[in-house]
Amino acid sequence: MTDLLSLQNITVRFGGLTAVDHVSFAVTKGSICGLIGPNGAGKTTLFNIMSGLVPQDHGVMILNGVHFEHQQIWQRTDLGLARTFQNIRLFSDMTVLENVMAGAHSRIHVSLRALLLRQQSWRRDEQNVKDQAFAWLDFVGLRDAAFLRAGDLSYGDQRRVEIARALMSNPTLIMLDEPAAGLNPAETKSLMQLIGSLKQQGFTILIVEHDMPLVMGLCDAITVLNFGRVIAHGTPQEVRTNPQVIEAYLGAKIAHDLASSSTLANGGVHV
Amino acid sequence: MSQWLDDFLWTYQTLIASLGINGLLALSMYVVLSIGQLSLGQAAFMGVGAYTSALLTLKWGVPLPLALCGAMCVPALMALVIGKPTLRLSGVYLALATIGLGEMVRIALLNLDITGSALGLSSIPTFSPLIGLSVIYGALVAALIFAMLIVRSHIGRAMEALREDEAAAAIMGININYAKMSALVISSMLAGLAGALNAHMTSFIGPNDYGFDAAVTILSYALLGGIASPFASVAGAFILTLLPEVLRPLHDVRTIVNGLIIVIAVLYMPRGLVTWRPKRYSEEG
Repeated sequence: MTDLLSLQNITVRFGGLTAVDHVSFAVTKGSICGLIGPNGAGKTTLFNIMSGLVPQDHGVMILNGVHFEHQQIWQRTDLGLARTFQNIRLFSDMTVLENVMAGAHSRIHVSLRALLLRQQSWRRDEQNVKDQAFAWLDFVGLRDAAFLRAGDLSYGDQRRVEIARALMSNPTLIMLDEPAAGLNPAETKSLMQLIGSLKQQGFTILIVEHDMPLVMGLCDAITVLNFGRVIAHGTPQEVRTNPQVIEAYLGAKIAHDLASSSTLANGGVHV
Repeated sequence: MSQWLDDFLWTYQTLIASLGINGLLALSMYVVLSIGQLSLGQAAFMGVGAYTSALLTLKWGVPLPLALCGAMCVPALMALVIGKPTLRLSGVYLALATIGLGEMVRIALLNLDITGSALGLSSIPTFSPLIGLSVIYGALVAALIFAMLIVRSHIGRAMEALREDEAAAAIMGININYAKMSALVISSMLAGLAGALNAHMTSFIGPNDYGFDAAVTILSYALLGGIASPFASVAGAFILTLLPEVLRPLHDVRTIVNGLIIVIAVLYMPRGLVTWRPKRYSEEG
């Protein structure tokens, strides 16, 4: 069991507010890791730091043995990071197929000459990307929507297109930012199956999510953030019964009442 | 037949040349707008190209083809220099910075002795009409083919992605600084070439041909035609150039009708007159 991703002492301040405060954790290769915490805990900020949209004040980030804290956003994609966004950010005027194909940009290395002359090497690359785009669209169940305008799809389908697009860069770590937000229970269930089968294909996944059944059902390990700090880390069972986690979600008084009752002994609460 | 062609060219030469030159300028605008950069430096690049080519031929007797190359290289170098600090800007801030650039160029042209100050440069060597038009339309067609080959590839996907959402495009692995710099350089080369071709068709250029008015006119080509495809912007340039001529029979109310048509087009077709959008991948590919 090796760590694919390791974050050490990541800190970022927005003016006087320390949004992420010396956060350290690791994600094991081939696992699904959850990142949870109340609203404003710094989960999405941490994602933005990892993908390079927000610069960290200090700290070290390592993916597959490579330090990437000083790399540009697009270099991190080459390295194997891929992500989706909490508020879907598809290229809505492009077709679904074009969106997914755009995800493979970092993998296309043909020369301008080959492109302009439509040489064999360019045609082969485009064909490969197109085939792979259709394969991932099949995987997320949206092959039929390939030629529709991405912005016209339903919310749940747009989330799936975003996942397919993220997969096109052949990532080693996929970061999903609230993939179940706005989905109905049936859609959430099929999303869980989709994420589970990604794990079976060998992808490592880091999820920010508020849907607790999803997090508890899927994750091998969970890290809990509150006010920018890591307050707990462990298996779903450990995290669920951690008094500090319960306090962060429900407040000190309720946590105290629960601790004194027998609820915790019976396996904890659904936070 | 030959007589008829001569007559036709004699009458409409200037208009036909402006159509092609404005088409090139529209493409130059398209290149930056298509990646979401509202850069208004096109008139300045056009001026630099025009003066470069005019000075090369007038003062040093450089052959015309070589002078045209110079008219593309000098604006490109300028784009590389000003691109660096303006890369971080976007939207209206970029527009303001590039308008500033345009004013700097205009004032420099107005005050330098070598550029003929306010008098401008005259008796610039000209093309013969037929050769001039061939060069202009050859360049326009070549630029259009080049643009379409690029658009229908992964670069075209990256360009549209960049226009729609810069951060998401960067996450796709698109080097956004490189893309913006390339677009600016290519755009400046097209504008420089258009400026030089114009100088060698009219034989006279002055500093006020390349001011803010010109920048806005070039922008309006792309706004009217749209940026759904390279053809759209060129169509916008053709319409805006032809419209005053077509409306000539209206005499006194001509400019009013001209303005009215533009206002109506922009109001009711905010995405431009030509909305056909090429696929961002090749069918065969």
